[in-house]
Amino acid sequence: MLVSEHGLLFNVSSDTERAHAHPELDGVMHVFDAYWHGIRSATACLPGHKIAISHKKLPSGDALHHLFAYIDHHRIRHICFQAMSENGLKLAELTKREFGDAVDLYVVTHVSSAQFENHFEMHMLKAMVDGQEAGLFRRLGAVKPRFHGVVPEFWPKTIINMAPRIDGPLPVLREVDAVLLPVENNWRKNLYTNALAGLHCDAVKTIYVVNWPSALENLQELKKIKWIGFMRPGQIMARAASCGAILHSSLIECQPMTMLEGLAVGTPCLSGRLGVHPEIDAHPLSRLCEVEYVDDVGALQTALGDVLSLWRHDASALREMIADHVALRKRLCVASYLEFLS
Amino acid sequence: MNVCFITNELHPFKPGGLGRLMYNFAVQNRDHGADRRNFYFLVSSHEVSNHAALAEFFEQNGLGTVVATPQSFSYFDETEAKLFGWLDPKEYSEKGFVRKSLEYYNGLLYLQNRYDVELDVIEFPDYGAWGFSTIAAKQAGLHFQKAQIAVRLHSTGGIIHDAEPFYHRQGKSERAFFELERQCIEQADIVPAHLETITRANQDFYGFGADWRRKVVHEFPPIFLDEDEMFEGDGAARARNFIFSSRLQPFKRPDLFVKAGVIFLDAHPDYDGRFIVASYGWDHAYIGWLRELVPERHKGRMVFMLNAEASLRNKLLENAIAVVPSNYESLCVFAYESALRDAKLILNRKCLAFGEGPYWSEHENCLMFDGTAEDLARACEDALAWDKPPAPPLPESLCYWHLPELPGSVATATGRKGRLALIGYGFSSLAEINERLFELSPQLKAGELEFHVVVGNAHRDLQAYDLPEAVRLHFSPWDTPSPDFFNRLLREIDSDYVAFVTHGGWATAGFYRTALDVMDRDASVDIVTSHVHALSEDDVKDGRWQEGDRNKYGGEGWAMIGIGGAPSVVPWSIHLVSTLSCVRRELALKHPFHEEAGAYFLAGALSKAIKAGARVLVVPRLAITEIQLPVATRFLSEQSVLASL
Repeated sequence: MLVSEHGLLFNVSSDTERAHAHPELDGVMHVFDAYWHGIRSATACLPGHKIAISHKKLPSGDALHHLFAYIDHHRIRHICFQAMSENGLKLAELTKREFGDAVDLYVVTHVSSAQFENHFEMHMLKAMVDGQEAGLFRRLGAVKPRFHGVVPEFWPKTIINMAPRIDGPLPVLREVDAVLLPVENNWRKNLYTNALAGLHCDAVKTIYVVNWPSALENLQELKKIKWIGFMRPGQIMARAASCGAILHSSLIECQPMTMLEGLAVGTPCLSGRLGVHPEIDAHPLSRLCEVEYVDDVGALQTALGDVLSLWRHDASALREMIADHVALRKRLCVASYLEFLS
Repeated sequence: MNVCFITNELHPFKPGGLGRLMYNFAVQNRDHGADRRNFYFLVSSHEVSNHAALAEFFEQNGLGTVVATPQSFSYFDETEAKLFGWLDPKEYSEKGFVRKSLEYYNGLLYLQNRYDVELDVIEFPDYGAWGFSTIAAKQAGLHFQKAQIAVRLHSTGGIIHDAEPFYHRQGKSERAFFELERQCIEQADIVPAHLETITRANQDFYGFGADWRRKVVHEFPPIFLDEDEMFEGDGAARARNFIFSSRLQPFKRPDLFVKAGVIFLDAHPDYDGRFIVASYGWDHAYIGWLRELVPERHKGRMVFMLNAEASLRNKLLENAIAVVPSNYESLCVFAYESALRDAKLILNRKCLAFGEGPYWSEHENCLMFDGTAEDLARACEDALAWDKPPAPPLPESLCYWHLPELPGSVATATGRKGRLALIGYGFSSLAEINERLFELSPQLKAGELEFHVVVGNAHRDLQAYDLPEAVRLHFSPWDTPSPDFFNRLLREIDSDYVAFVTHGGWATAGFYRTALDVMDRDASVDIVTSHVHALSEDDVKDGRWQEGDRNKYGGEGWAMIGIGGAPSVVPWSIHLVSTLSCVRRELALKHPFHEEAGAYFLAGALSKAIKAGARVLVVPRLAITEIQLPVATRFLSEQSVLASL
């Protein structure tokens, strides 16, 4: 592990310990923001060098010197910016100025058009498109399916996220009648719908929540709900590993990492339809866990009951389904990056 | 060979004997021809503001590379960088002291990386325990595996306080400071020293055994004068003034100089010379008191010239008899420089470096007094009349980095691979146990440790689960087992090392790997711990995501700093090491848990072991996390447990 000073983090353990390896992608450098947690989690699973930057502070001259020496030393030819900020853009420009055509720069956006009420997203997308036109970026990609329908200059295919790497079977004390609901209490994350599905599902005895569904006691008895508060990333995977399912039917998603982290530890995740890729959509696990309408408490409750019933009646089939799904995601992720960077 | 010195002063940019010595090392090395070493000087960017100019001067004069420590903890992980960075480097407490040592540790990593070198020798002064984290990093196998770490005997804070018995409080911070310094000298690979008598004084003061002596290398450092420091003619013979030019600090005894001056001037109203204090210091109250010692009638002939420029100081020295009244010196470069100038010199016989130093010989190269102002006034009279013979040449020896083979300590390896039993208790749900299992799964699969899970009898349904082989279940009558239950468990399990884990705290899996390696490698280490990432219950439980403020989620907590084996601090705290540390089982059996100590059973036993002299290695990381939960007891307090030790 090496962390450089003055604004850059090089390959810190949280960005590398659960990363996959791949001979053709190990040499790719991924640059991402240390404070954008979901994007950072997704990047942490990828093979390659990991450089965290900050949208709050530009790296110092010393740090840039260090970064350029690192790129040179490791003969890095592909640098992939995972999302973009003003500081990321400046770093891209300086890197291009230093290395010219010897290094190709790419950007992967993690945004959905539903988030455009935050105008920053559109400013950055415009800067990415301008950068591509000016020859700064070689290609622009998105983890949001069909994003080129939003901004036509983007690569028409979807970059697929993969699950974190977990070595071997985990020792698991699984409470199959417990579910984990690790979402924020805001409109987008749909905490109340998920909580209600868990409360209504007879097979559920415990719902572990990170955030309390405040005022829901007006409608419901909430005895099943246990508040566990904030959890570290590793801790939340461990908690997921000990539950029968994760509830994560949110209103807007690209490829939620909560789901992939759950799958990595063998726990299925209930969600709305994501439409990430035809093969993923058709996978039996997606058909089992995805509901058509994200605020349909009844449908979510039924799907949850089906999943928990599988644990009881055919756990090995469920485990196999999850392992197959994880392997599929990895295959598609590698293929998408290989093609994107080609 | 790459040699790095750690310092906060360097001649000619900052006064002080330590900085002068390092400069002299550099000059001697530069002039050593083909056999010269690559010299680096790591200075604290918090203390040496003009390091760029210093670096330029050293480079231009071929003296070596001066590197300033980075402002941030850039070679640590993110949380560590942040939490260590929040510690105040100027705080006079264990936090400030250890932060300083972490700053130098980080600086050494930066230096190695920046200049693409591997250091062979890293030399710290003994003052300030600056080497604490670097020595620990080497012992923990984290870094510097090929380097020999030296701690040179100058003067520790502990020794200085001993020589200044009336000027200091004796609180927890002072004790922590001295214990940190002691551990550095004790655990260094090499202890360079200048005078045998000072080595013996350190050995007696700290109670080191004969083994420690094997690490000591005696050498007489290079002492010489620059051109502008030498005087022509017979200044010494004509000298009429007396000068005090050491730092204004109690153990240097400027008060003796002033008092002797007053006695002398009263006795010799017609004396035409002056008593000059040409010095510097930082304690304004102390300096004010020194000035007040001068009666109005002598103010014209007893002068204070503080922070004088080098040229003026040299001018003053040229016509003066130098007085060094210190209670304690480890060498005193200034005294030897005065001998090189052939100046008349008055030294305190009570000071070991002078009274028992091999070079000094009364009436031949110096005059001495008995440590009182009256006798110093008498010696001043003698000095004016003394027909001083020329001073003999200074001793010379080769510094240890020029030796054909570096001396160094060798740890006593146990020669076997020990096993670690991790005892988990205090879990309130399967999920909490599972979190630990999840984190430890690579170690459990690799058979590196066994995990003993203690739960209440009410949870016997756990037996139905298919647990990994390395996981053992134990059932206690209560969910929170009694200390005697753990005493019995410790006797029953068959492991070399033990550590405890609860839902309220855990260590990284990497920490256990490190602890196992250390204890296998070095039989003298009894306890392996780390600094602690402390979280309050609010940090953990407060769902700050609530209502969408995601920038604030998850409290960051704070760093609790470990000071290692510090027996004299035990009366102030039972939390010297985390209760989640790794311990040799035989040590735990020797200090059984007290049944009535309740929630403090572990802290109490560990404190007892430290008080009895257990050796502790503090891995310089935040490898242990503790959630600070209130101790649920109506009867006990930390004070009552401390009193029982």
